[in-house]
Amino acid sequence: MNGRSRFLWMIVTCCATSTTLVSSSSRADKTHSLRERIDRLVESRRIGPVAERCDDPTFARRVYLDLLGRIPTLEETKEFLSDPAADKRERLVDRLLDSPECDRHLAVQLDLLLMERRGGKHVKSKDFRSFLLESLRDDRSYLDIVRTILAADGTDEKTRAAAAFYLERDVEPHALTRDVGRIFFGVDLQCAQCHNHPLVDDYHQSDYYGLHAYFVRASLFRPNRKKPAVIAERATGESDFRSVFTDRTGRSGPRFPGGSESAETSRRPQDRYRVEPAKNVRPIPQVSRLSQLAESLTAGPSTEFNRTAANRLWAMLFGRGLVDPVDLHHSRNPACYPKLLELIGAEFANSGYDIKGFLGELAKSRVYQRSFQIPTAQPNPSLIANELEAAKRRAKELSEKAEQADAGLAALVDKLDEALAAAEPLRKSELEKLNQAADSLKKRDAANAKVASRKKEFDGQETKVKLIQDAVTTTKAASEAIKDPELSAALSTLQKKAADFGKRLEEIKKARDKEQAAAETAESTLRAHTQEADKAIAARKPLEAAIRAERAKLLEAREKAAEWWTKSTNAQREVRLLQAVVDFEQARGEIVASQRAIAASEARIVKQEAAMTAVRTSLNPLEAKRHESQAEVEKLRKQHDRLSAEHRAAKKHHHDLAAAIDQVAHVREKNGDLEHLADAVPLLQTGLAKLTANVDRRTKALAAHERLLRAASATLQKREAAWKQARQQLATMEASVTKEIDALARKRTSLASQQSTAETHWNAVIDQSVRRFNACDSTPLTPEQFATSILVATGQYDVLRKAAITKLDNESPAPEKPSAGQRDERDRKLEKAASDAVDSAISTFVRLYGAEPGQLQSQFFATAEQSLFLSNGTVLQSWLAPTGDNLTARLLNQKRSEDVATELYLSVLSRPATKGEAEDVGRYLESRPEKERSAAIQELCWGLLTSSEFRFRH
Amino acid sequence: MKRQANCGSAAHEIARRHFLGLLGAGTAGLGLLGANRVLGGLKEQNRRVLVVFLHGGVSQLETWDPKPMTKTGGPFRAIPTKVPGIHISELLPKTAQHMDKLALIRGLNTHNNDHSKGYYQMRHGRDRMPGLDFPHLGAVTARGLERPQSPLPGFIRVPSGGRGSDAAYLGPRYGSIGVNGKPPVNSSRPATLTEAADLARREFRRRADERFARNRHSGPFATDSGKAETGIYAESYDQALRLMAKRDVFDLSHEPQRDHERYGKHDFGQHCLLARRLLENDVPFVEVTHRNYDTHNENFSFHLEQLGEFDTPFSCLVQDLHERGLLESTLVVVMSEFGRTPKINVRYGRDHWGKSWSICLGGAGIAPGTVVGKTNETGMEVVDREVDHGELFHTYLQAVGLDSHSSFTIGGRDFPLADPAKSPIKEVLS
Repeated sequence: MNGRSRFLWMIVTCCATSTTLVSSSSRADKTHSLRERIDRLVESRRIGPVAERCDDPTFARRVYLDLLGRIPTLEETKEFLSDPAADKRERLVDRLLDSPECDRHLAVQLDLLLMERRGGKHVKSKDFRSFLLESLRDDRSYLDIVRTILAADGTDEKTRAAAAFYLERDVEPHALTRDVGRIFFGVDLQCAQCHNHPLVDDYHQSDYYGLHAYFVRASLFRPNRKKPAVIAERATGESDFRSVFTDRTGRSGPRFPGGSESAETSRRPQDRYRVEPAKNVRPIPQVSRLSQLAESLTAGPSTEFNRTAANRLWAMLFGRGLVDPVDLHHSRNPACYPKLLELIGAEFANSGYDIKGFLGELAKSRVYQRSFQIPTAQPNPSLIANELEAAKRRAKELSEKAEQADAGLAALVDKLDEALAAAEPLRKSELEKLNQAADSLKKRDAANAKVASRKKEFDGQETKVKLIQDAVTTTKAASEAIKDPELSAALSTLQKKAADFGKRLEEIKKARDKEQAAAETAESTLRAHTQEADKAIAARKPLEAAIRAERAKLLEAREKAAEWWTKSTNAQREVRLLQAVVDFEQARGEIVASQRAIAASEARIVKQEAAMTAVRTSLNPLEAKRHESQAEVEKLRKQHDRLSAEHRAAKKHHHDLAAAIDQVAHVREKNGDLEHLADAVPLLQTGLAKLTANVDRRTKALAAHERLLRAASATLQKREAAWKQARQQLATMEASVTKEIDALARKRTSLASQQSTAETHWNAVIDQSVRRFNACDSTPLTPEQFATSILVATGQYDVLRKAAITKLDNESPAPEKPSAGQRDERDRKLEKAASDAVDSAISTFVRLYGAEPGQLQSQFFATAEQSLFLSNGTVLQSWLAPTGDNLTARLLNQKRSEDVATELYLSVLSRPATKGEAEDVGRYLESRPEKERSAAIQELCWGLLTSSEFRFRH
Repeated sequence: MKRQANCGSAAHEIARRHFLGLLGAGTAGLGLLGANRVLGGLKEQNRRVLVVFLHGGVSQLETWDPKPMTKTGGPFRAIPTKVPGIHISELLPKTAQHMDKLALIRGLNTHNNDHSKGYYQMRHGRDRMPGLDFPHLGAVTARGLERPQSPLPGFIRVPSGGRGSDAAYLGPRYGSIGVNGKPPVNSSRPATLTEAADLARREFRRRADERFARNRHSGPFATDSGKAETGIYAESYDQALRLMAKRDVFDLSHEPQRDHERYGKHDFGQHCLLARRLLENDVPFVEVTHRNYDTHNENFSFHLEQLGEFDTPFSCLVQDLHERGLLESTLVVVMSEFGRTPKINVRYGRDHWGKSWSICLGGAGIAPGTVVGKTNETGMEVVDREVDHGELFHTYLQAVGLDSHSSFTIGGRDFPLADPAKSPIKEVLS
């Protein structure tokens, strides 16, 4: 469409979009109930861990919240729990659906769905809600309600409230385009307003403007500020667009997302309006695109419409849609069970769009009744691993196929562009001719207007001429009969006037003839131009058909590609779930292995430490002996030192003496025998002999001692070695234990990380399982559900309703013998009074816990403002003050703490207290003196009312 | 066919992936713990934003872009400032002394002369588009710079009351809270409840939550971290308790008498003092409004009076933030919905003018003493570096360390922080 815009001038719809009412698959099976078929479909695609059926208290709480918008009262819980019947769940669902509270709750839910808390600008929210409530009470179908809403233009008092859908969005075409796309077709095309959606391949700018074309001519009409605004439509205005990224331009006729364009033919200017636009006049076109929307959307609802409606109702009960988010349906975010979505869409249509019947079937299904607890044990890990491998192969194949399917699309876009280009000159010439005809029409109308006014002038002049001529005739007769100069003068005046007037009449006549001729010319020009316009319109028709055909081909191919992508995406999702399971199992295996290794390591450490102790014990005697030997060697060494010193001294003596003897001999030789010298020699010899003996003795003794010392040293060495060896052994053991302890620490760290990995995988398992409805998700209560449930739990619900009914009874007592109609009327009044009282009691909650008008209402948020309100605000405080037989008053009457716990848990959390919980309550009460019992009981109630278990539905 | 029309550049896509990859898709939009680190390219310091909104449309000629001695200039002189070469109107003598901490954008063209469109443009960074709603700068900041540990609201308006509906798709958690010098509603314990009893019941509540978490999914892990929603819900009670302990933050009587006198006892002075107190307590976004500058009549006497009231407390605030070391982490912006006509009308007034006007900014991330853009000698046209509100919005976010080209993921959808078709004004960023 590069640079060539698609241009439709005046447009007439020849046929509505093609529709698919009921798919073949849903016709095939008439013998089984919807719920059975839902369960079979889901159970046949069982992947990953699946939760068991939930217990009775969980079911009761869930179904009361979903169908009545509140938790069950204490009595209702008790009654249900004590009912032994096997089919009590089905019967409860039926009973709840019949309750007027169900209508009230569904009206709120539908209001949220359609208006997202908008309201009050032109239509009060209350009025719109009343319209929904009345519709539900009258068992009007979803389709009927939608039709009324989309067909309402605000002018009819009866459907004025229904016009809120348009009016509260200020009849703003872009706001309506986005919301009609989101709410009725399940696609949020917002980003496609300025360019093809950057992140969603299925969302095209041309889709956005196809839908936009329905609203582009509508606007809020309010000429008088004192009167209510209504919706006006013009017969002209087109949906042109240009991508801010690619500059690709385009124009679209009315078309539903992915649907074919309405075949429209341009209209002659004279055939556009029933009421022409003018100042302060609400124009009414011959063809209203808004009515067209209501008609084609609901006369033959498309598959997209049906499945979006069914999916939104499914989300109402399951906390999330099969497509999630409910307004982001595309082939990369398809339903987790596409066949199931198709089934429920078709079946909802088949049922005649019966909201309650449909919800009833969902609530009775096994899928709905699954618990929120996911079992950890896997049937067979190796089987799952195989399954994962198969899923991976399938996902790869499918994504290849999808890529292939995408590859062919570009050529088709080119073809469509070619067709658009071919039609462009004809479109231009048609526009020219239509403008020309519009121009001629204006000229013709102006000429006719001139003729008409001239005719009026001529007629007036003619009358005047006639009157004067009559006067001339009469005066002439009189003047002839009565000769009077004044009469003659009057006659001549009159005659002169008559001539003047006659002349003027002639002039007018001439002008008239000329203008008439001009009008005829204008008429024939218009005829000629209209014919030309007709021809141009006719000439363009086949080319438009060609464009539609090309577009249809493109859309069909896109559809095909989208189917592959849907399959591919779901295959990838299965891979993700199985992968998470396998990863978790592996992590679990690793944890077990780690735990074993840790135990083994710990055992080893214990053993090694025992061995070390033994070595340490043996070290002491070795040490003692070593010391003993050391001392021995020391002692011997000292002795040896002494002995060898003595030995050395003896040897020296001996040596000295021997030298002395030698010297004596020398002196004797030289000098001869001196006196007494000879005597000294024997003495000396004797002495020497003694000394020699002494030395010998000492030498022997020393040698003996040396032997002793060597032996002792050898022993010492041995003992030293033994001691050293033991020391060494101990050191080795110590190092080994230290190593083992380090290893243990590392193992423990890695266990912790394995545990956190396993936890991550487990959370992925939960996330992926919940997306497949393998288990119930926990979803926050809406502000209305939350607040009403607090009223029910505290007993304030009954108090308010009773007071409102009593008030109504007092103000306008019931008739004595009411007819059936009167009784019905009376019931409605009572119900309304009661629920109005509840509505006003919860208004603060709605303001604090509700999202902003026009924003996603399902987006959970929690603020300090909210929790301050519940913590310190007077509202909850007053509801918790014991009075009458409200919750705290009843609890105060219970003497035993087990009974307090039972009643408390049944009233607030709609289930019995566990043993641990009852003990907790007991301890709490015991910790406080008797005079604080009332305060303590209020605190306990507060604690449960503000708990996550109460805030969420599960 | 695939993604032929990506949002402008690859950066958009990359930023998104980066963001998703770090957060894990699915749980975003639920508190976004630690998002500032993700978005901010790892800025260590907590940054914050102060917007002073001069309501009604302040005259650029009597403030940031004077044109003395010209036919459009009016009676006031231009005076030198702390930065040689930069002159501003003599009506702002004290502010002029802090010009070395501030910067000016003088080439602003917002193509709009309508009050309500102007408020939207300047605070939301986009033109108001039918059917689309974008969050206020305050809400984007409150989420982008979320302080997970702080109990204080992330987006405060002074003066105002109650909660504003200005967070669009970011949700009420990030919407504005109006403050009037009083502590938040319900922030004190009821007289009948002792602190001990309150703590005891909260402990009981916590035990109940713990059991519920253990019970849920009967998994091997008690943390229930898979369900971020329950965690956020429980957190809001702790947050309430911490807020109760900090309720004095909103009470101006704790500020010294001397400061009351310095700032002035008139409303705007008090509001600036409150802003200082809030910023000191690390509130990520504070907006103070000063009104009314819509001077169709007697523009000059009104500006003389109004700016006289503005100059002192504003310069005190800049000085105090600077002296307390907060200015380098606080972006300060003085803005308006538009400027005023250079042409002086017969009533000595100036009318609405979005074609060539100015704003002043300073503090965190801003190059001080910078002037970006220029108007011609009569101020009728931008002659150099024309910018608009979309670029300013990017600039504010970048200045506080947020990647203005990244996206928030909410309810499975991506929402760009700022208009993806625009970019920040690099010259003014430090």
